[in-house]
Parts: sequence; structure tokens; C-alpha cells
Amino acid sequence: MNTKKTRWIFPMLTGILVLAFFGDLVFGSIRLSSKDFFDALLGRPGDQNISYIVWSLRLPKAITAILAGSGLALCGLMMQTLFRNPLAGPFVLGISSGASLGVALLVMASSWFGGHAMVQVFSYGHLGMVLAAMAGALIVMFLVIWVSVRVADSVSILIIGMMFGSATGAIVSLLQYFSDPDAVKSFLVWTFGDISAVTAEHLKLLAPIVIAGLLAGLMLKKPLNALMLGENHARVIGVNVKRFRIIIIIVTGLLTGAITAFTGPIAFVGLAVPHLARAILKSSDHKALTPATLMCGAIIMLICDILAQLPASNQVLPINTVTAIFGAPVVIWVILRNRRGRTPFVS
Amino acid sequence: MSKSGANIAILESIDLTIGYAHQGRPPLILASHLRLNIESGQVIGLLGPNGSGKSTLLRTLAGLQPPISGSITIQGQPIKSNQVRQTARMLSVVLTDRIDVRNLTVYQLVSMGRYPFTDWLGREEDHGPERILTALHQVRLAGYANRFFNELSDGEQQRVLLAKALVQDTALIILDEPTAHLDLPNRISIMRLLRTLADETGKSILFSSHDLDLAVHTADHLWLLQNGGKLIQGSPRELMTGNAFEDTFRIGTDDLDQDIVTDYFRTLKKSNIAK
Repeated sequence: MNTKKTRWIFPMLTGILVLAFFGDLVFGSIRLSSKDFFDALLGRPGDQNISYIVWSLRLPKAITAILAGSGLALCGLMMQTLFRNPLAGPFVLGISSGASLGVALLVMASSWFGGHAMVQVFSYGHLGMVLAAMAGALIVMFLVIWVSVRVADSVSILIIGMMFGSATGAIVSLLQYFSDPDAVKSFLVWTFGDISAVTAEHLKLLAPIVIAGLLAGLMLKKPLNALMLGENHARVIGVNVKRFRIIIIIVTGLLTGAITAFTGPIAFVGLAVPHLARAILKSSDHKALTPATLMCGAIIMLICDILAQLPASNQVLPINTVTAIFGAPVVIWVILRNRRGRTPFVS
Repeated sequence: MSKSGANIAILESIDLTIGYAHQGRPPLILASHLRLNIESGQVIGLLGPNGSGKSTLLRTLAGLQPPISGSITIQGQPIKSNQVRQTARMLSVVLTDRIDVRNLTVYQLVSMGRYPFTDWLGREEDHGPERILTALHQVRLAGYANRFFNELSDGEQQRVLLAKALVQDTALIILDEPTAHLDLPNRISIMRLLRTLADETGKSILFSSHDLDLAVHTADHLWLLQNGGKLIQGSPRELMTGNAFEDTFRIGTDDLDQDIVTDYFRTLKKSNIAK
């Protein structure tokens, strides 16, 4: 029923998204003149290096930012709705911890057996690391699903997901404790998150998974709206709560697992963006909220990537620090806003 | 109290035993061998002390939990607790679980009653908006469509949930303590609304309550569920003449407590039989 507002919100978001996308292509450690940039983008004959920068470095990075931002934001939204908890995010199920465990095992445990050679072979951004992370994420996802078939309520799943997260986190700490500093460092660098490591080749694998997940998320708007009321209310209007819970966990697991595998764990986007989208739309209807969350996620990720490039022109900040520095104030703002809302007599 | 002539059986239960099944242990049985039936247009009040199993009975009849044994049919079709969509087309339920969602309009919430009938994308049906506005009119909330649900009073929220049950278009509406948390004028207004809806639409209504006085005035038929699982059925007038109320709400321990309860029922009966 917010049709009047939604009418200008979506064109506006689309405009910002396009601007942010081109902004992310233009800004970077090497400054491009607008002429060079458009020459390269439109395939006109020009400097081969600039063409390479735009097409092979920045375009995959910008596309990754869009995929990761919208995918993580969607996961955050689905988790917040499923658990009816504003502090839920894509990582509450422990799936990204599973991914880090996979990477930690590969990077650090392999250094015990093969020494540095293995670390070199599976160096950062290599497909081996991606596969290890994916395997870790999938194992935790199947554990969570196995549990959620057996328990009746979502809160138990939330708690068990967090337990999986803590346990895998502890194993990662142990691995770090017993590993040599080089291996620990290459693992730590992975945890900072990096969307520039995703090449055009990687995108051929990442993009279909994320796009499939996004479509699935968009199609879940009806059960998500019902689940928002609470599980009993959803059941009495005919929602098969258990089935949709598992579908939501699978979609979240695949999205979070795939994105984390390629980019490392990116914090806060998933938690903060759905709140941002709700605040912009002033609606909890997933028909509008889901697409708005996807667009806001993509925009925020692109902006964070631009910010990560700018401050020291030839140094790039880890994307995770930028998203967290951006995300923390948003979460604080949401909490303050919620508190105001609970008090009667204040508009 | 009016009662329409040709009555069709809406809900029937045969040899129904309710309770909680435990793995590897004997089940906790709250009431057994219940033979229940509800006819069209009937308003039934389910009364009983705390812990007698009112909510369990309602949850079982609504298909939210499986019975220990026995069967429940709605208009001849069996209720199965694992087929939520089919069940939602046969009966609607108004729950007391709080809905705490911001920015959710009354219209959006009521439209969710159409969930079992809309396709998987939740596209609006041809007559969807009409149905929703009609239901809001029926619960005396015309003009509330664009209000935010979480900004309404408890009484208004209860009526919105009733409107959601109405658009679900079922022959039976089950309400779990619809008057809990409400003040006296709102309790009276909800009960009168239930009576009117049953008379006007021919729907059957089953509600549980602790408001004995209001339930006696509203219902065609009462189910008194006692601790220990005995269920006494009858019209309010029939039950008033015997000791059914005193038996149901007996407090075993304290004589003074029991005297007060007995006094209460004496007054209740006097005021109702005198009419």
C-alpha cells in the first residue's frame, strides 16, 4: 500500500546503482581520464593497458561487488525474517565459519605437511582456496539442515547455527595457534575480504550461483511475508513452515557459502542493508522489500569498494574494514530508531 | 439466542484423544474419547480451568498438533496436521501470539488470509481487494485499511485478525481466548461481533475463554473441559441448572476459595435464568 512512495524509490535506486557502478569502474588506484575510460569501455582503439584495467580488473570487481552486496543483503533479510530477529545476518547459521574452516585447513594444515610449497600453490584467490571454502560452507550447511529437520522451532536452529559457528571458529583458532606465521598471515588476509581477487573466470562460477539464489529469494516473498508474523500465524494460514525454513536455509547457505568462498567473509552488509531498505521503503512487505534490499546491497558494496580505493590513491583498504566502519553506525542508528518507536506518544 | 433452522454438520470428532506424545515414554493424555460436533452457524464456547487442556484441544482441532488417537473431520474431510494448506482452506484460526512487525498495514495483514488461495507468487486475485474491504467492514474497521497494525489498540488488533480469518473463507473459525488482554467494553464488543458474524454469515465459531459470563451470553453451546479430561456439553441453560460449572471450576484445596467460587456461580445462574 506504499505504492506512491515505491514509485519513485525504485527509479532512484536504479539511478544510484548505475552511477555507483560506473563510479566503481572509473575510480581506482590508476586514475583514468573520462575519454580513456569511455574509449576502453566502448572498445575504441586506444591504450591496451587501460582496456585491460577496465575490462579485466575493474569490470569483474564491480560485478562481484554487485553480486556479493545483493546476495549477502538478501541472506541477511531472509535470516532476519525467518528468525524474527533484527540482529540476524547471513553468518548466523555458521556457514561462513565453515568456509573459513575450509580455508584455514587448506592454508595452515597444508603448511604442516607440504611446507610453503602448498601455500604457494593454493595462493590467495586461487580456485583451490575457493573450493576449500565452498566445501567447508556446504558441510556446515548440511549439518544445519540435518538439525533443522529434527527440531520444531527456529530459535533452536539459530542457537545451533551459532554453536556450529563458535565450534568451527575455535578450530580455526587452534589451527592458527599451531601454524607458522606465514600461513597465519595468508589466512588473515583472506578474512579481510577481497572482491578484487575474483577474476572473469571465477565469475563464470560465482555469477550463476548468486543469480539463481537471488531469483529464489525474490520468489520467496509470499512465505517470507507470512513467516514475518511468527510461525504459528504462518501455519494457520497454510504455510508449510518446516519446508520453507529448509528452502530459506539452503538458499542462504548457497549464497553465503559461494560469496564467502570467492571474496572472503564480508561483514555487516548482510546485517545492515535490510534495515536500510526497510527505513527507505517504510514497508515490511517483501514484495518491495526484497528487491529494494538487493539494490541497496549492490549500491552499498560498490560505494564501499570506491571508498576502499580512494584514501591513499595507490593503496587499497581491505573491503571488510570499510563495510564494518560503514555498517556499525547503521546498526546503532537502527537500534536507536527502534527504541524511539517503542515509546508511545512520540511520533 | 437465535439458531438457524437447517443445521449442517461442520466439525465432527470421533473417539478423539488429545495430549502430547513422547518418544519412548507413555503419552501425556489430557482428554480422551471426545465426541464433538459443531453445526453451521453455531457459536461454541470452550470453558475450563487453567491446565485443563483448552488450548491443546483447540490446537488439535485446528490441525496444529496431531491427536494421540481418533479423527477429526471438517465437512466430511479429515484434518491432517501435516497438510497445512488444505487445513487452512477448511478452517481459520485466530491466535493470541503477538505480531510485532513495523510498517505492516491492516490491509496487508488481512490480505494474508488469502494465502491458501493465491498462487506461489502471492499475486492478487480478481476479487481480493473487495473481499478484504468487506471483511474490514464486517469487523467494524472500515477505513482502517491503510493504518499500521502495530499502532492499533489491542481490541482493534483482535478484530483485524478476525477479518483475516474471515477472508480465509472457511466454514469454521477457531479463536484462542479472543478476549484475553482486553478491557470490558472491548470484550463485550468482540463477543457480540462473534455472535453477529455467525448469525449473518452462517459460519461456525469456536472460541475458548475465561469470561464465563460473556461466554454464557454469547454461545449456543458450551463445552466445559474439566481437569482430568472430562468434557461436559450442553446449552448454557441446560448447564446452568445442574452443577456442571461448580464441578468444572472446583478448587480442591481451600474451603474459602471454593465458597467464593460457589457464590460466583450462584449469582451467575440467578442473573441468567432470571432472563
